[in-house]
Amino acid sequence: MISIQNLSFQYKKGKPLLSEVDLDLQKGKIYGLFGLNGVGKTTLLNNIAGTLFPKSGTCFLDGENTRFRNPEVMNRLFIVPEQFDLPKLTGEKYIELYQLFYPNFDMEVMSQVLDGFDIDASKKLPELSYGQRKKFLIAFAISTQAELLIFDEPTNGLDIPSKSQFRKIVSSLDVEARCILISTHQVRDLGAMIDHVIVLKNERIVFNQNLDNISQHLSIKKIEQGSSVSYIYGEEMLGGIHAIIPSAQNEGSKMDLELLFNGIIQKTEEINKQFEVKS
Amino acid sequence: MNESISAGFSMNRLIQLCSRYFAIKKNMILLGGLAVFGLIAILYFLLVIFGLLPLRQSGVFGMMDLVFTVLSYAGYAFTSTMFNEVNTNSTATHFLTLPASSIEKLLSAWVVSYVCYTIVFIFSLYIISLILGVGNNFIFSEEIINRLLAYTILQSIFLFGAVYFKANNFLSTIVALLAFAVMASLIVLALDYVGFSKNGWVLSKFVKGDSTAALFKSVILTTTVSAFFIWLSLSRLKKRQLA
Repeated sequence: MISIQNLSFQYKKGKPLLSEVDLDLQKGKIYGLFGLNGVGKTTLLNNIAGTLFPKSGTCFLDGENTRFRNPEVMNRLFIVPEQFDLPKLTGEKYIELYQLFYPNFDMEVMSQVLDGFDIDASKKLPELSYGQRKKFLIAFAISTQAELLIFDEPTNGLDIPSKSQFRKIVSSLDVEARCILISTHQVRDLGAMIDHVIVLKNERIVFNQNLDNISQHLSIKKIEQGSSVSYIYGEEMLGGIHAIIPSAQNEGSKMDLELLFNGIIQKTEEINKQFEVKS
Repeated sequence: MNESISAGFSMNRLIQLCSRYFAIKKNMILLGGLAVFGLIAILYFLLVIFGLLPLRQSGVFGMMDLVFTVLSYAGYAFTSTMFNEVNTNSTATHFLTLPASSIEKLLSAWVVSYVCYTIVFIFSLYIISLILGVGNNFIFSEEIINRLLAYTILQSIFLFGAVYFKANNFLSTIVALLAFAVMASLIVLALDYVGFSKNGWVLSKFVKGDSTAALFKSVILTTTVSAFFIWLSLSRLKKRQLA
């Protein structure tokens, strides 16, 4: 669905942020985009959405370059930015005005999601708290039925019940008809719903694997301190080491995305080597 | 199967964008309208209180001149706010990814800030001319039409300034216009010095002739210059990214 080819980006007064990035995103998947602060995750999302233009390279949505922001392309994607302001309108007026731009907008879904989030659409949007506004925009994004949903830190500012509500809502979506891309630091909040991991580091995508593949090649184990078991990356915990080890017999194990992310950042080459060997 | 939307120009989207502008700028329009009419009302009551009505002809035209200038600058200021959303990252994403083409977004801004505003502008002038007892002759006079044509050109320049500059669009456009005026004056002076302008301005020659022909030529000139700035605005809007 999304095809990014050789994309490089840098701000006018800055060093390169993305260099020769290649990435394909397919329908039917929920992608998690991870990276340290300032590595260019939001910039990549904005390049995909056509709100930033690459210095070189292209980003296509089913063959259409997103930088031209053609209405038929913009109708198929919706981005929920991390920081945003909404116009000084009531939620109801906003829905009335903006739904007209999305022919597949589903008012029933909007009402359901707003109810789930406990948002009163009759209130003026600027009067809502940051978290409430975010929930409103998430509800609107989902209701547009856009095929590509981009969420930048969607759970930032959301209270604990709303985070679980967000997970429930996304899990209930017809994912086969959509591609969902989530950039987040809240691995613990959203890890369970992600089925493909993308990691940005040093201007490039250094890791791009689906969870099934990851489970086949890597395992998470708790090993005893001083044990002879060799591991790729480990973090000390009470009574042992929480470690990423090569998965020798395709044994598979429940993936701890936080540990995996730390492992990828610290031991990029060693982790990727596991996939080269077996693939 | 998802319903797709039209790739070409859509009148429906243009109308939706105009409605969106009216909704999000409702407070500004109401406050601006109240301020202008409040000012006029104060002026009128002052004239009544001091027994200055009916004004002498020079006073009427001076007053109308003042009203015209106030309404013009209010129009320029309003036009300068049309793309404020793109100047702030927190609102730009929403505007830029709205499924409408750049030409529809620009035209909607022009329709609201020029077409609709000018209708209100002329209507206001008409009401004020009635209050001052000037009559229809003033509104449909050649001078007012020429001034409206000049307003049309300047409005398109302010529309360009609204897209081009990333902050303080109204002031930035005024400064740019002043800089341009200084440059143009210097060039004219230089041309005059070397003897190029002996036979008068090319422009003033162009709009010479009997009054209908001159007006027709002025309309053509205005349309061309305004269309040029609208086209420049469109090119700029297509290139706008997050700040």
